[in-house]
Amino acid sequence: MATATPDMTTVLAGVPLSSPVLAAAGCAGTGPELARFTDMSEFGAVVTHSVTEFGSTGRPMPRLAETPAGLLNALGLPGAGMDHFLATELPWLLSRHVTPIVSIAADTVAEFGRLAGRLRQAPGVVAIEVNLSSPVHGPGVLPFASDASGSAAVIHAVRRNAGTAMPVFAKLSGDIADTVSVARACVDAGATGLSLINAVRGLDVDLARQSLTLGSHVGGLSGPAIAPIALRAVWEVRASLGDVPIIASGGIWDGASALRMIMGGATVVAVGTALLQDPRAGRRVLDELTELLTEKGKLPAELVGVAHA
Amino acid sequence: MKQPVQWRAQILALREGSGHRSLTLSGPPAGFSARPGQFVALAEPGQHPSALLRRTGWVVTQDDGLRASASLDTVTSGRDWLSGLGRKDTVDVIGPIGRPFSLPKQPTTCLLVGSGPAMAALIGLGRALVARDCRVEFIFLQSSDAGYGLLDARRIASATHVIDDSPATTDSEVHAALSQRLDTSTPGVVYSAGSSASLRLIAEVVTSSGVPHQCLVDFAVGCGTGICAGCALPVRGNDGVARVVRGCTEGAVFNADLLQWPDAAAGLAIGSELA
Repeated sequence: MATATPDMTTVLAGVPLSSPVLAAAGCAGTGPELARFTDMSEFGAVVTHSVTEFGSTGRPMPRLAETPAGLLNALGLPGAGMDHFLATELPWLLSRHVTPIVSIAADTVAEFGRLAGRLRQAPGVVAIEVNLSSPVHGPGVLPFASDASGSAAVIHAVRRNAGTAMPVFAKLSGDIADTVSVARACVDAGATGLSLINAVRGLDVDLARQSLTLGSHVGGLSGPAIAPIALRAVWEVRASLGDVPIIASGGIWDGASALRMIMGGATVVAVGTALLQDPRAGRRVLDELTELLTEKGKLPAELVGVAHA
Repeated sequence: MKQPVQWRAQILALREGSGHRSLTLSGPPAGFSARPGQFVALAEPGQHPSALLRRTGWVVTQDDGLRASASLDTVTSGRDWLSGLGRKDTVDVIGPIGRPFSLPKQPTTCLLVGSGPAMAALIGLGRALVARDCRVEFIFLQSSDAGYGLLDARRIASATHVIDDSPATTDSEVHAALSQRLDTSTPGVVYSAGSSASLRLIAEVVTSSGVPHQCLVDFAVGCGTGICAGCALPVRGNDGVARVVRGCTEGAVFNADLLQWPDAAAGLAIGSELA
């Protein structure tokens, strides 16, 4: 007898999603780039690239370097700024029936607050992801997520400006020694949930040039190489903070890696670097995850955190 | 047909060269149409690839399968999968990508100059120009006769020249040789292809002559879909405003006068706020 395909609809912080497979921040372009290859509405939600207050061209070239099972990037959050996002990119996403979670990034607490305020009344935005952990900064400058009090100050400002109804996710780094303390500080400051993890800070040397490969020197490592680090962060936060909603990202490449994150405590998973290698990877991950759940005869929500039992 | 398209191709034939591989790939979907200057992005197939970025394949022709020239870079860890491929192996292909060269409306003399695997794009362009009754001359900037496309060029062109750009040759010597050739050929348009460093040198010569110049920048492609913004290039728009564009979707062919050459070479223009 054929086993019934499970209902893949999912609820994330009160928001109904068509599936637990999302597109991770920055890995769907501004939308049209990915839409040439895949139906964007098939993602449970699309986390936008991190929108900044004003436009930026990003960091110097070279910006990318391959490493074993990984990718180092030092893009530096290129984009056209919040005005352009609200006028052009967000309406496009909504016209394609995409469920948008808007990622925001800034250098100061006040700027984060202003960005959140702009999204408070923006149509169709179901949640804000606060990028506290961009791995590419100036020399000696660490991300907000390196520090619990700094992270809490940002989340407090975002919550105050976004209003009480807007789900807010704090995106944390995989680099910090005590993920749980920072995660707890964010939740106490008003975060609805956590997004775990951002790219991990890394370095590469170009053997031919005998110098650092990336124009910004330090980049963020993503791809399958960081999947165990992401899973560890998800597992620790779930173990300490209970059923707080978690968006897991970091090395999700197939249905199995997605299911590991869910079993570790993730509510949903976000596919990132895999979309750069194969723009159809989101559909593939969803199909494989569906197949695994079919074999187990379970709904996605029934397996969240089961590895803690 | 909506382009670009993605398909799984088999390698029907391959030729080794100095710093490049020429691949003939099966199965461009019906309706696939690449114009000179466009390219395909090649990825290692399978669910667990060792390399996470795509490779540029410059399209030569699509007559009998898709013939493309792909550069090799085996220096950086994880970048060597392409060199390990053999006949009948498969690759994941996305294409055609990018803006093609603009062809002259009237027959004229065209000077096609460049170096490296991107010369493949100029070979395809040369054929298209000859079909339009243009007179085609090639200049190869290279240190030997082993570079990509020289034999093809000699079949296509009215004249083919090689200018030595080996490390022993100074930029000023290459500059002088190019100037002399430009004076002799008196082209109506110049098309170039190669690395930023080569193109910058070519542009310095051509710009002073006032001849229209389109160039194709050979760059590391990243995702090949415009998502990753890893192939950013600084340009000055027709409106005079400096901005950064993606080489894959907004290039790889540019009006040479609009590229910010010194900064493109050093990567210094990027990092500022948009005007």
